[in-house]
Amino acid sequence: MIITVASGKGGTGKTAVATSLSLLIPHSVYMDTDVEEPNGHLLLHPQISEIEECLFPVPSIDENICTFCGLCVKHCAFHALTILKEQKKVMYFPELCRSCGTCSYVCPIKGALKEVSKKRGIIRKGKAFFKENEIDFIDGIMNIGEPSPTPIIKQIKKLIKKDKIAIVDAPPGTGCPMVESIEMADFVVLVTEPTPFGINDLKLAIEVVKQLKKDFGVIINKDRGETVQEFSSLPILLKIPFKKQFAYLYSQGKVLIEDKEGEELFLSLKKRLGI
Amino acid sequence: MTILIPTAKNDLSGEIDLRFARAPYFIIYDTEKKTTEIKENPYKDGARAVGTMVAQYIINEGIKIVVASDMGPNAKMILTEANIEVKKISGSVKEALSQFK
Repeated sequence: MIITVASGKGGTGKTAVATSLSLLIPHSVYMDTDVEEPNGHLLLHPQISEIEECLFPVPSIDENICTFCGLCVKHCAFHALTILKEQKKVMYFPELCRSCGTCSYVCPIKGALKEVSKKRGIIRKGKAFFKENEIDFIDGIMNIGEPSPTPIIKQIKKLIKKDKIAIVDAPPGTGCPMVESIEMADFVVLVTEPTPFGINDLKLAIEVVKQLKKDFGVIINKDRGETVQEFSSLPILLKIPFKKQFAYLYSQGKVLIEDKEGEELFLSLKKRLGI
Repeated sequence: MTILIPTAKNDLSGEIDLRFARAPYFIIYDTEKKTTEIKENPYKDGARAVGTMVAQYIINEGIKIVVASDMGPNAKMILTEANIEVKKISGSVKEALSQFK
């Protein structure tokens, strides 16, 4: 089973929820797909045992063989290639390239355009521990300046094993990286907070989740006991009270279940999710 | 020789647009024929990589001088490689054009 923890707004508590929840599920897998800024490791302190490189194909042009026909430039949907016919030159802009492979597919001259590997990031694998529980830890780190985290998220997704419960810590927002992270989920947990931004972005996230036809539940973090009308019709899984002790734990790099009340909250969440 | 000037207005009365590749219109002036043409920028609403697209357009159109208040690094790199002169000028289109007449 795959449970993705997502949100519209950033900073609502996706990682706080995902880390505590996975630590309470024996032999589960915690997966951080926020590869632009993974932070699950700051709370889980995993022992990393393996680092996998994320290699993707990029074009390498031999200007001695190239006839400067311009087909690769014409077909590049991301405009990462520019041709200077007079100067007999093809310019390549790596930060625009998405490694789609179209250029090498359309190139009619053998040997003119080769695909070479470019490292766009890494995937780390390891283990995290809490009391007697041991869980698998996976996260991805994208290289700075890369145009899109989606290919790395796709590579992380390949590591999901059907027989294990995976808790996916999704990137914030409602863009491609978030969609990529919830697309394979059996259930989506949306974390929000009772602020105007939190409410607005939750609405956007719900629209995405509904479009993808996913079941979802909502966790209200930093709950101050106020009635928020927008939340009244939603399937609320859990309310995490706005408490100094939780903020303190987080600031110390500790998971919320280290606190007695926190542990009870997450045990009740686990029960609600039927795990 | 042809010169390109980015501008917001569909005539010569405007300013040189502060945005190069996303300017709504391009004024193309031919110094030999003394003709002025105003073309809509086909890439003005592009989602990404507009600078490289406009640079390729300029090369394909055979333009030799580009007047702009500034431009992004990709466009600058392409135009430099293609030996197209970039003149950094800001102000009114008419004033800029008078330098070539």
